[in-house]
Amino acid sequence: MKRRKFLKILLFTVIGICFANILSLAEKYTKKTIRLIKNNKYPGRIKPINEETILKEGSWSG
Amino acid sequence: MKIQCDLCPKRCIISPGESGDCRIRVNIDGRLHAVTYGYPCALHVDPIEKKPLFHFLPGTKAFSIATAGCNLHCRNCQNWEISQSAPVDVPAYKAPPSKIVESALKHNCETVAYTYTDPSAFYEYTLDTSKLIKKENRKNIIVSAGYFNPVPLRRLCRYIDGANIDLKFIHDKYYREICGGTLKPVLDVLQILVEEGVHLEVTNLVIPTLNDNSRDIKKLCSWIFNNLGKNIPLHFSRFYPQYKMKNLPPTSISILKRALNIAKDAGLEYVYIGNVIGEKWESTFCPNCGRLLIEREGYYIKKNVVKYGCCPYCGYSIYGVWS
Repeated sequence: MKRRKFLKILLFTVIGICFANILSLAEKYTKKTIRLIKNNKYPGRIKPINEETILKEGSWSG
Repeated sequence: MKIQCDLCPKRCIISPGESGDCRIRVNIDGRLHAVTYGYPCALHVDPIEKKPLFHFLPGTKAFSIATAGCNLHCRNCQNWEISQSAPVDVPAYKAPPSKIVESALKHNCETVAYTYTDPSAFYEYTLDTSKLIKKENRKNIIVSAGYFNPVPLRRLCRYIDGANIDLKFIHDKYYREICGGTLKPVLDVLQILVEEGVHLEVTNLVIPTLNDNSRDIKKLCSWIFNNLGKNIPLHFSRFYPQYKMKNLPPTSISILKRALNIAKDAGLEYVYIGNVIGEKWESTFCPNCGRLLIEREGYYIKKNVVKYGCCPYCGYSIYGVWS
């Protein structure tokens, strides 16, 4: 009985942590994005321009 | 305050702090910000034949750019890693319009191509870059699904010289189910481009069991013939299983050849098969005398005898931009 109760609590705790994580990530994403956009910055990672990569034909279609 | 975006037919109503369906335009304090402006995720020097544009300065190079995000969500998207991702998840270069011009000139590119994802989504960046490119006497081309509203499209047409528009289906039902869009705006865009004098080529990706039946192909070709003209090049492109459509097989060559014959029977003068290497239907033949004018292998030109936009054997005018 005790074991069942323990497993139940554990399961709900794991689900709760996952749910809280998803919510907090979504919130952070929006706030961070907005702050960066307001400062005219790109919200993602910036990669350096590499002339060799440019000269290679794009692997993308079109 | 909510804002309605008028750029594409989706006309998203965007709440503060949220982005439109394209993930590019964000409402911040009641103003729309184009997040990817000046931040392309792809920069490449491509042969113009890759776009595909077969009647537009053959054998030249196109400086090709794209940003993350797209206003359509095609289940078969070949570039889904960048088109279906939010800008925050896609690394990008810092390249304002002036940098694009500088790079295009440095790499001796005759044209700048706004491609890979969709210039209708990164519209402001396309517009500002194309203005600068025109000042340098170079040309601009768009490779797009044609999901624009008429007003922004006509504004862009002042600076655009060529376009390859993907007419994906001739049925609205498939546009809704597969792409999350509608057919009518795409047909309008094709007609506007012809009206505005932009060089136009059309691509149709032939997908087994969806749009590969003769009746639909005939309907698509007849629409092009009646509304755009017999000289608009049509590219039937081979489908490969991608993204959310891995359950279908690649298009067979016989289906593509059947599509090509239907298009020829419908009266279209320039019909090509794409995404297939080694087929003679990658080459251009004179619609009048049938002689070979431009021989292609993959994206490369082996022979080009078009003189001043005409067939050198019979003098027939060949649709395109040749100088």
